[in-house]
This record gives sequence, structure tokens and C-alpha cells, in this order.
Amino acid sequence: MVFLPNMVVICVNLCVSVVLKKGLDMQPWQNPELEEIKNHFIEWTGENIAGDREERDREGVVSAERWKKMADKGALGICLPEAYGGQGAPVSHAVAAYEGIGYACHDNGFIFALLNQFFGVQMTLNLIASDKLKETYLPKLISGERQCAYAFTEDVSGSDAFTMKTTATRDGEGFRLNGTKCYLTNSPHSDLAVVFARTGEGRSPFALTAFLVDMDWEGASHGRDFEKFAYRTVHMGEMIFDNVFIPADHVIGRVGAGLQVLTESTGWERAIVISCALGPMGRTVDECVARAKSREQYGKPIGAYQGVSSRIANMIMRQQMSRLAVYNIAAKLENGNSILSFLQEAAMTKLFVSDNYIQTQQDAVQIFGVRGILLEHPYQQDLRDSLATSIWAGTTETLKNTVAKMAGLPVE
Amino acid sequence: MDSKAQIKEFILTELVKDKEHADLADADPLIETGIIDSLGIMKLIGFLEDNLSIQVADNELIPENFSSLNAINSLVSSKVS
Repeated sequence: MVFLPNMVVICVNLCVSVVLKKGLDMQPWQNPELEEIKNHFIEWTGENIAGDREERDREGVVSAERWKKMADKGALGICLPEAYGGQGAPVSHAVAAYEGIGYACHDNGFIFALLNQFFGVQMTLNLIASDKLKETYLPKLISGERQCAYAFTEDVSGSDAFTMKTTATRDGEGFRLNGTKCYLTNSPHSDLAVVFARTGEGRSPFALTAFLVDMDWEGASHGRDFEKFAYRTVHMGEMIFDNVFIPADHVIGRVGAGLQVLTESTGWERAIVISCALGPMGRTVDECVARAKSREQYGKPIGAYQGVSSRIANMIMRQQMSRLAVYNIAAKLENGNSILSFLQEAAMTKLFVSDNYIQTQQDAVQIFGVRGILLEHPYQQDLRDSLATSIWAGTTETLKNTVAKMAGLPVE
Repeated sequence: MDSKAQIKEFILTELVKDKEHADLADADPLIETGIIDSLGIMKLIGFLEDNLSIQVADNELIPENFSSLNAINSLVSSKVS
């Protein structure tokens, strides 16, 4: 038997730990600054936003007060320019903030609504809209004074943009908008909308245009609401456009650039809005670990049974790998790279995190047993809410097609 | 470098992901074969306007004007002349 001198063993251990720590410090998701932001928002959200989970979920309560609180906290402008009221911080700071918010607050629908406007609407306007549109509307959106829905989907048109029937035809110095958009997140409370409409024929790459529409304009109205089993605290509705006149300066980008606007915004949704899953996953893992330690059956904690411990090990792995994926793509976006360069990665990120989130919440229901299905406990709500992530910004099936096509496979 | 050569270089270096099209011919269909997708068209328009000092009018955003290298160059030439 060979014995290494103690000092050699100690030095080897020190070297290994230094190398490992150095490696960890270099990874974006291990950044102490991001941990600090996350922890700050966990604490702040717990004190200011969280609470009344069961009632709000059961009654489908939407809180304008909470939205304003988040806006006043700066949650809608973290990585948008200071010129419009934002903080000009890196994208990863927004991911960390919303991870903290999601950890402390069970109101998954509310958090999704915020992120949807932040990255689906505001970020797109910031990147593509004219200076005039940005100066007019971004400050009001960031401050919470106004809310904007993303009006793309129609009853007959989802993943296939070219099946949409809403039209915008030229009329003097503007356009006339006609059509109905539905299944729109937060539209019942939105007084603005990014609306996609046909300005051309067929499947031409220039057939669609995006407009910024004020719902106070003549002919614009809100239609029915849709009751959901997931994200019950963000309402979903219709927007109806009956010969609405849109001034030409409210075109987003340019006429015929609708697909570009759509691609940019869905890229951001897939890459970053999915960060709404990180906080809930983290909270769920922590609660399940605590449960597995404290709940005893047959004289020992249930965490001693491999059926439970293996399940939790998988949950931990999924949560950490999901964080890795989202923070990694956020870091790439911070290096000045356009989301258009990472469309396949954005699709994969959303797919990966959504699958992990759903599985994690299913596992939690199992670990908590009968409590997992009681309305007075949050686990069933978290499972219901997680299911929505397999649908928004492209269904799981659509995204798998996207990933395969970008790899050159002849998917139809 | 003339405008056609500049456009070809941009397409090959910035838009075409598939190295099989490295020998792109002037008349090769770009859109219908998927050599350039809708996003690529937008990037190309940005290149034309920024680097060749032309403005593409809204009514010129039609597939025919971007169907091939020849078509794109014809559009540019019509504006420069």
C-alpha cells in the first residue's frame, strides 16, 4: 500500500478545487452577481407580490395593482435602453430577476404575462420599430401605464402564419385593418396591440406586415374572453378590428417585414420568456427535497426510498440543465449577437426547458401524494401551468420540426 | 467590385448556410429553392440599402425582384441608373 504524504494530498485537493471553482466562476449561470439579483427578487417578491395563490387561481383574478408594482420595480425594463425608462442591463439580469420572481411567487400566469410583453412585444419594438414608435410607446409600456398584447393568432391561424385572414389594405396615408385575432395573452387588459396582417398575397415572404395599433382607435374592440385551466391569472381574449385606420407611421419595421418581426419576437420568446419556468422549478425542487427529508413512512424519511430519491435526483438535474440552457443563450445575446443567429438554439431551449418543467411538476405531484392533487396546495396548479409552456410560441411538435428542418432534414 | 459581385458575395457569406451553393449561378432560383429564406431576404434588403445606396420601395418587395441574382441586380441597376 502506498501512502501519499499528507501535504501532497492537501495540495492536490486545493489545486483541484481551485481549477473547479475557476471553471465554475467562468460560467454565466454561476455568476455571483446573477445570484444576488435572483435572491433580491426572491425576497422582494415574497414581501410585495406573492400571496392569495389559491383564491387568485380559483377565481382567475388579474391584478392591475401587482402589474404596476412590478413595473415600478423596473421589471419591465431591465434590459431595455435607459432612454425609454429601462435600466440598460444585460439580458441575463432579466433572466435572474424573473427566476427570483418565479421562485417566490406561485402566480405563474402573471409572470408569463409580464415576460410575454417584455420580450415578445417590447424587445421586438426596441429592435425593429422606428424611433418615433419607440419614443411614443416604450416608456409607457415599461412604466406600466399601458399594456400591449401580441396579436398574431387567429382561430384558423397558428403556427402557419400564411393562413391568417386579417388584412390591412392601403387607404391614403395609412391602412385599413380588418380581422379578428384570438387566444391573445393579456389582451383583455391591453390597450395596445402588435397586430400582424396580410398586405400581400399567398405565401410570399413579403405578404405580412406588423402594425402597432391603439385599441382606442375607431373600429378596434375587445371580443370574448377564454377561460383556461392553466395560467388562470392572466386573461386570454379576442381583439376585433373593423375597418380600423392605421397611420402609415405605425408600421413596425416596414411594409412586408411581418415575417421578420414574427421571427424576431418568437425567437426572444423561445429563448428568454421560457425563463418563467426556472423559478418554479427551483422552488419545486426545494420543496420536494424538504418533503422527502421530513415525511416519514415505515419509520424512515421517504427520501430514503430510491423511488423517491431517484425522482428527485432527476428533478435536480433537469432544473440545473434548464438554467444552463437559458443563461447560456442569454449570454450569447449579450455579446451583441442577433437572436436571428440562434433560432435553432432558441427553439431547442424552449423545447428542453418546457419538457423539463412539465416533468418536474408531474414528479412533485407524485412526491406529495394526495396533497399533490388538492386545490388547497400549489402542486396541481404548478402542473397545470407548466403544461401551457408546451403550447405558446410554437407547440412542442412545431418546434421539433423547426429544429429538424434547420438541421437540413426534409421535414414537411 | 461591381454590384452583382458584391451581392453574390453577401449572399454566399452571410445568407447561405449550405456550402453546396458555393457555385451559385446568376439565374439560380433563390427563394423557391430555399437558398434564401424570408429572413435572408430582409437581411439582403438591408445590405442593398446600406451598401449600394438604394431604397427598396414597399411595392418593390415582391418575390420576382429577388428570385435570382440576376433579378436582384436588375432591381439595383434600375435604381442606380
